[in-house]
Amino acid sequence: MEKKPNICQEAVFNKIYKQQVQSLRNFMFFKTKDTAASYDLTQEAFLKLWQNCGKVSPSKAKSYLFTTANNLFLNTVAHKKVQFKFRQGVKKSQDNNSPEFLLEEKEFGQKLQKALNSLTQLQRTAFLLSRVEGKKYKEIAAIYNITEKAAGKRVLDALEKLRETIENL
Amino acid sequence: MEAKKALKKWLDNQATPSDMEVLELWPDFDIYKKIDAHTKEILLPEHDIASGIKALNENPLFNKPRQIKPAVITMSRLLKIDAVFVLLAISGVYLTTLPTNIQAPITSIQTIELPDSSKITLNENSRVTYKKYGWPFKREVTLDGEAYFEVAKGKTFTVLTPKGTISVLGTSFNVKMENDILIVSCFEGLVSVKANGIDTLVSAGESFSFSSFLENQKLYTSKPTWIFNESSFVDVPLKVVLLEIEKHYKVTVTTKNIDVTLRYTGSFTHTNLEQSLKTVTLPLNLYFSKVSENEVQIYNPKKQ
Repeated sequence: MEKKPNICQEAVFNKIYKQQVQSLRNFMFFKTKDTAASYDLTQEAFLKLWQNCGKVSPSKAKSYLFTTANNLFLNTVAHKKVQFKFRQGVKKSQDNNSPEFLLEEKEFGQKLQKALNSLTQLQRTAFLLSRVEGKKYKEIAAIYNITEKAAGKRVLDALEKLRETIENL
Repeated sequence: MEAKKALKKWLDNQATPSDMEVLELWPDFDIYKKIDAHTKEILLPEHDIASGIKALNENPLFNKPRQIKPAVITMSRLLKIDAVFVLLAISGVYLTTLPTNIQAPITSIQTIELPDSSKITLNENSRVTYKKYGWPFKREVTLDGEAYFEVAKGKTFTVLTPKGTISVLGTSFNVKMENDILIVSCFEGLVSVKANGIDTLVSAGESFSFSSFLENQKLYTSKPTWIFNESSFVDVPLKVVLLEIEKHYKVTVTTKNIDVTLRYTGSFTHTNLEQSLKTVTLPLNLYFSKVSENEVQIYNPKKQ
């Protein structure tokens, strides 16, 4: 008798939790722009995984989590008007720390915030998965169950839209 | 055009150094780079793994009965096949030891067809028990009462009675238990009987009574008459025949001017009283009349 790793075993479940929770949390955060909501959705997705542990093999756990979280998000209709926050003191590598430069950077940050809000939820999430998470088109395509080409277009469209919005502000 | 291509690769996080060279020379890239750099500074919520797992464990839904596939412990294919055989063997043993019990109603005859198309005709108030599922392996019947057997050819067919064992290979025979006496009549083929420590062969047309001594009798019919609802007699006193009529029709038979020791050979039906009386009285030149509903009188008109 061989014993296969099964998500119903708590050790296996906890391992998957450790491996996947942060990227799932980020994914939910990109969608909701909300810290608390992204936490709830992430936890709920893991709860669903636990409840269906017998049906999901460990190798499918990641895609199950992302799909489930995405579906859970679609069920939460209410969208709060929230904005992303950015770390202060951007570009420490830059030597140019003149007040003009810092002001310009701050202004740019505010413009980017507004620009990100102008994107559709799908464009924004795809773009952030690409830039912040460093995901490839292929991985984004897998999450949304779309083609790699469509995923690439979504990211590129988002970038061009951001540029357009920022330049017009 | 080349720049656009490089931009796509850069966004895919797959830009090569030569792609980067192209991009750095492209004026539009400045703003894209700036957007990218700022975007990367988004403050992400830091997910505390320990408290997250703890919160899950405290959720009442977390420990609900889970849908666990039976495949949690996977058996090797060989083991699965083994398990099937073990189950089949167990159910086989169970089924072959399961006896089938058939009892004929008190007042009628019943015919049973066995799995190999052998037939058992059960006389009134008799009972047989056999194992239906083990039949092809062991043809064995336990009998209580009287029955007529028509055995299909095959393995040894055994009839167990409290007084002895009858075994055959394929024949027709009648077995009767009456007042602790075993009577075996063979109508076809050869029957072997073991009773009271005696081992005897009964051949076609013979009937043996196995009591304290062996009694041999000749048969004149090809089947026992009771299965046709008849009683038959060979050279018996009329008295005995009349008693049999009384028993079957629940009537009183009285006689007038008759010698009841007259010998009678023949049979009467169990279904029609008038016809039975005729078949008994006519050969002996006797008459009968109904006295009342439950009483019949037999008389000799010449001897008045």
